[in-house]
Amino acid sequence: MAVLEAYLKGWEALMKHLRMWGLLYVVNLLLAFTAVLPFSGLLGETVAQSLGLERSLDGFDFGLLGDFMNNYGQPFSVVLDQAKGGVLLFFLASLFLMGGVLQSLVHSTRIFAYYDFWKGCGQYFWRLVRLTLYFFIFQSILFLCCFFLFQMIAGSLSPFELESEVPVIRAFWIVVPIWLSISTLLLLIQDCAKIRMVHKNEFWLVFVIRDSIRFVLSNFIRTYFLYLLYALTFLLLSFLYMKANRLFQANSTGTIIGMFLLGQLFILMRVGFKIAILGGLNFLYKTQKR
Amino acid sequence: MGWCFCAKAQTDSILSPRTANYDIKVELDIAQKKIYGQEKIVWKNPSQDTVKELQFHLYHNAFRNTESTFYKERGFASFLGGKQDECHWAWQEVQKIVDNEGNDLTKGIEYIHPDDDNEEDKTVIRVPLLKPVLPGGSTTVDLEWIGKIPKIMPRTGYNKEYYFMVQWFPKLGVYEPKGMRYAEEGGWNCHQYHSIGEYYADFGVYNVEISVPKNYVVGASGELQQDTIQGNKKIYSYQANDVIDFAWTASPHFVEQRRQWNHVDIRLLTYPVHEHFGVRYLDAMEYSLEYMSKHVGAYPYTTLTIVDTPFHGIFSTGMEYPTLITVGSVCFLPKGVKTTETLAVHEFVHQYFMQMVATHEVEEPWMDEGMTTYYEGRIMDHYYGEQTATVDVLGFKCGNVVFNRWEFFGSENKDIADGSYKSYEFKEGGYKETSYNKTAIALRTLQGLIGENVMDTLMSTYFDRWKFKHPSGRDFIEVANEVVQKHHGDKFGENLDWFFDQVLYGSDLCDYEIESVHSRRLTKAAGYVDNLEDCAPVGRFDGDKYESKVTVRRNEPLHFPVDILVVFEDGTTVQEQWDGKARSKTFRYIGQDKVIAATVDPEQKIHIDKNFLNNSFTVNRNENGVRKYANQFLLWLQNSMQTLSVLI
Ligand SMILES: [Zn+2]
Repeated sequence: MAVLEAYLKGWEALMKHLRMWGLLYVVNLLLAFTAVLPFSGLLGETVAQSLGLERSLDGFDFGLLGDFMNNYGQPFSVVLDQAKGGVLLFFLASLFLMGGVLQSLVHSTRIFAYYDFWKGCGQYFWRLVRLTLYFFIFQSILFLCCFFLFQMIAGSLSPFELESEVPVIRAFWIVVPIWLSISTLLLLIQDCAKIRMVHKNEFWLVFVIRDSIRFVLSNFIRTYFLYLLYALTFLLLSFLYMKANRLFQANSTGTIIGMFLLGQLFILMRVGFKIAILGGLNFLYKTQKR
Repeated sequence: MGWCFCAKAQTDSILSPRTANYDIKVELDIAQKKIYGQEKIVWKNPSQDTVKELQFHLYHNAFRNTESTFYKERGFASFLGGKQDECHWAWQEVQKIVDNEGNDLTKGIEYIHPDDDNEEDKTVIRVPLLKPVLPGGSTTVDLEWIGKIPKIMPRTGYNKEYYFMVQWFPKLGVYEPKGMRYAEEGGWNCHQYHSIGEYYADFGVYNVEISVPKNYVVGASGELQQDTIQGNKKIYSYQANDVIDFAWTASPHFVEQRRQWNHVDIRLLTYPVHEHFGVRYLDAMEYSLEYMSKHVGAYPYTTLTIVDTPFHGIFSTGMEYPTLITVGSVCFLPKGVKTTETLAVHEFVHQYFMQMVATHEVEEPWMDEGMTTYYEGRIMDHYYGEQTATVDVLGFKCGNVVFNRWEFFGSENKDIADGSYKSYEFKEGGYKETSYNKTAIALRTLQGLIGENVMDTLMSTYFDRWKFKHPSGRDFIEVANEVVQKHHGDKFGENLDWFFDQVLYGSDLCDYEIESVHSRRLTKAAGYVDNLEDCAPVGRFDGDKYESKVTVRRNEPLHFPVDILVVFEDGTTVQEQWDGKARSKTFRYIGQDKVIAATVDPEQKIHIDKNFLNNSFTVNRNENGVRKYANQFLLWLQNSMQTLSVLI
């Protein structure tokens, strides 16, 4: 019951912070536009007056895609570089804004206070940078361990040493679930660490991480189940999004606008999920034994 | 020595000149990784020359040491690099060679290197004859030889219990009489084994007796005559008639599947984990047999063996030998990825181009690989869909021909060399792009120009005229000139040399573009027009008429005759023809309706045009198209951003 309550509290927290949600979404949209605008300019200059583009509206056409990449690949790679820059900027912006999100969720009793939000952004930025770096290292170590485990179970990665590819496939199906489960656990601990850091305004992240591990382990079923519940909701919504997306043929202005709105709704949902998960964990943290 | 099989003949009719005929007894020693061979060769002199020596390939000596031309060109011989602990190198030694009069020729054996100055290369030998072979005469020689089998070398060798034996016996080169292909005088054509490039050999009858451990299953070229168990050995006797080579494989783990197609017994050998691929391979073979028989010519052999190489045997995957091909699959690929079928179809088509029409794979690789890739595209797209023949997974679709075109134009080496290069001359790359992809695209372009029916006539005439012979590129072009002249007259000029000079013997590219479509309302003349008194400062509209101009540009050196489809406002169309030679051409129209769109090569006949997107131009910008892709890009980017932020 505590899990379900926390799950709902997470969504409630999101609803209480609509403006914060909107702000995060707008940052995502604006940074994406920095690369999308040159991309649509490139399309306008190269293929907008080709009948090939018109034909491609009726469905996927590899011939046209191949011709585009082969003939306009160079300017497209410039756009892609810009997109990479956009993604990196968004990552930094998200690091900065995360402090505000946590501050608002943990401390703010009001609906949404700009003051609290920006204060949190500045206050926790460097700690969040370090925390993200530590967990990135943990994730990398986990990945390497899983890779070695994969190699061990498969016997070898060289086809010449293997009787058949079956051991490789078997190893894949054994290792990937293990990797996903532990990786999810690490993300859970990382989220708890963020909440704990803000609750206690703790400077030493070593203690924060140690205590979050303790918290997650002593409330393992609740925390992990809560995470899984959110993950399942996310998968369900993604599935529905994909189904809905297939309803549009993208060959008229109306359907293209429809696809755009649907896509933005999905992105909005993804942004909201992050807040809801932190909201739910925050509730668990406040109400469960530490 | 001096033995011979008395098995029944594979076919009653003699299809080829049977110039080089082999009776071979070979014993596989799995403990020592060696083969011991006894070989009787009957060679007929096809020329008017008196031939004083024989030349043989000892291909496995390419893997003898780091000094071979093969190794020096490739930089590595084994796929294992330096990792393996057992010696992976190999060799081939002729112990004894005697002629039919009992003269021992062994002492005269000399290693030669006709292609380079590498004295350490031991892949070709010459054997002086004590009794020269007179014009039209024949000679018989008996050889004893031993071969150390390579471990995991390109195309051949062993790994674990899998043996794939190709180029495994001392094999005669081809004596080319004066006037054959490019021969200005008679002589042996016997290239060293190079890093890039395949083989060239004469037709003959092969009787091969293979002795393996009794639990081993064997697959081989030709027809199985009998198999007998002698102690702990099993002896398989094969006969292959009118073929240019003989390959075999052995493993205790092979399982067999069979299917009969008309007169052809199709036999598939796989390891047990790949048994489920059987239907896909056998279907692909049936389709290929059906298509090639219908469009090119009959498959005259009674057998076809497909070897699905095991995972540890991928060094031998994707090769073609007379009536035996190797293919490969992996279980983790989704069914929509059709590399399984593509490889099988490709290797089968080689039965026509390089096996029956025995072109020189080293000197003119485009003639086998290019023509094969061309038919691979036709067969795959015909049976598996023009949009889905290569990949059809989760909405991502791609046909074979379109994939081939993308591969070629996406490569960095597309204009590095022309098609006339010998395989080992592609030192800076471009072998695959030029010999395979570009030739297929060029033939597709020819098909577009002359039409599919005439193309079929051309290819079947070429096959019919040159099967069981050794044509050169010139011979193919001669057939093309003859057939196209017969069906199209002078439509494409006196001959097609202009076409082949550009696409085969040149390395330039092709790109036609509709540069602009402009329309303006027609005005009367301005200024002093009728007299020197009345000045019309500006031209007045001349009724409701428009002048439209469509400009077509040729952006690259290659030129072909092209059609131009012009569309007017009211939906009417005009089809123009242009020889495509000038740098640009403008078409002018005057009428009530403006031109709204134009397309150069609307039927996409000129497959070698590198960019189809600029082949058309519409005055109405397609904003929806731009929006659609911009939206997709936006969503992809937003999702990437959101995914990465999970790490925070
Ligand atoms: Zn091939």
